[in-house]
Amino acid sequence: MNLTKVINDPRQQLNIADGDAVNRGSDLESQWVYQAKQGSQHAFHHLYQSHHKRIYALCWRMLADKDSAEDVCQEVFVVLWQKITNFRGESKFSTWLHSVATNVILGHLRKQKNWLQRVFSIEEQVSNLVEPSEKLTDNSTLESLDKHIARLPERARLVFVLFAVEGYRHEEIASMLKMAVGSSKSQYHRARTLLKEWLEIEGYDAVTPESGDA
Amino acid sequence: MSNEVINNLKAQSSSTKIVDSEQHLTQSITALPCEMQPERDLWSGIERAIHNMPQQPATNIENVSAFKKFTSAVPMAWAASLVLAVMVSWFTFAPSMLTQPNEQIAHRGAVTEDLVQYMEQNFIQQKQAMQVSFRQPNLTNLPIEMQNELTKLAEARKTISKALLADKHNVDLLNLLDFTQQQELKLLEQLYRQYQVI
Repeated sequence: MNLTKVINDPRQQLNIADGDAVNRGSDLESQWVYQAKQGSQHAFHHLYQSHHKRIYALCWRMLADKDSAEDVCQEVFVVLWQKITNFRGESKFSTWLHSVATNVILGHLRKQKNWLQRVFSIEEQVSNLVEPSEKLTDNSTLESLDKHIARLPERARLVFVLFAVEGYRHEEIASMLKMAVGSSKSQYHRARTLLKEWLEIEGYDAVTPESGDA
Repeated sequence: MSNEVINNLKAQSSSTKIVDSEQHLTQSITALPCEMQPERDLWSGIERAIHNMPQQPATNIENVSAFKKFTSAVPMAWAASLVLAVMVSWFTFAPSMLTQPNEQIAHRGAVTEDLVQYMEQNFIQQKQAMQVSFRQPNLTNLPIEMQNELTKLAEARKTISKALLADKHNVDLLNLLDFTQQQELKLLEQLYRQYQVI
């Protein structure tokens, strides 16, 4: 059994009857973490291999830009190298890593020159007009919902990803994004409404040609 | 077909559509892939970046708030620097106070000397109590820049104490000593809290 793959995907972990394999995978990761804390770049590379695709997915969804997502994903692992000594194993390593990644991503957004512009929604008005195909370098391999997530206005997108995908609570999101809890909830509602609309239109577009043929 | 029936059918169709779109979205979220493959190799850049990059000393704070706390210590370091700046300004521009009658100076000098001693003792006691409550932390495990700030602050405090012994009537210097002691205690407490390691 491919232990790396097991560690990568918690959904697979749940489906595996062989609990020992999961334990071995977890033990292996604990060893990598321990060795990385001692300064082993080799062990750190194993951790990178295990987690970078999930972290990249988080970066991509929050930033909606392939190049930025790749750069920030690298930054996350550089920060991880510096801070891994702070991990004491009281939570799952992946959970801790995702909180590090989320902070790095939000830090990156804040550092951008046009952060204020982004926050105060000038960009949001433009964002809705931009088609996903214009916004993304390559969206051919993306899931349908991911394409639509990338179209969302920034604040709605951040809240949606953090709440629906990453599982943060609105209180936590509000604190991270420096907004009121109510704003977080309304942005989430806004994101859901837009996504439902777009998925509906997409479904209609997908059905239309067949209907025409018939 | 009556209008009422048509409206009912429309309403039913609309609510079914809402339920469908909700379900569709929920299913789409569940089906989102956990992973995405970056197009370019990211490891080579990371490897170059971390080559010879030191890791932070371990703390007992297990999350990113450690970083936030670290950055929040920086203002304290600035406060330490501010104390030094005030001191330099003081010793450069302070007016001479030696124009008062000798008796007054002698009396106030004795009072101030007692006060300085009391303040020093009080400061040392507070510092010791703090060290005990944090289980005698080892300051050498702190980041170098923090150690430097602490050293500067301690030196500033000593210099002010010495200056007070030579200029015992100087109330402003006394206030500066008090301010410096408080800053040093605050900085120590903040550093102890975030680097309990130690």
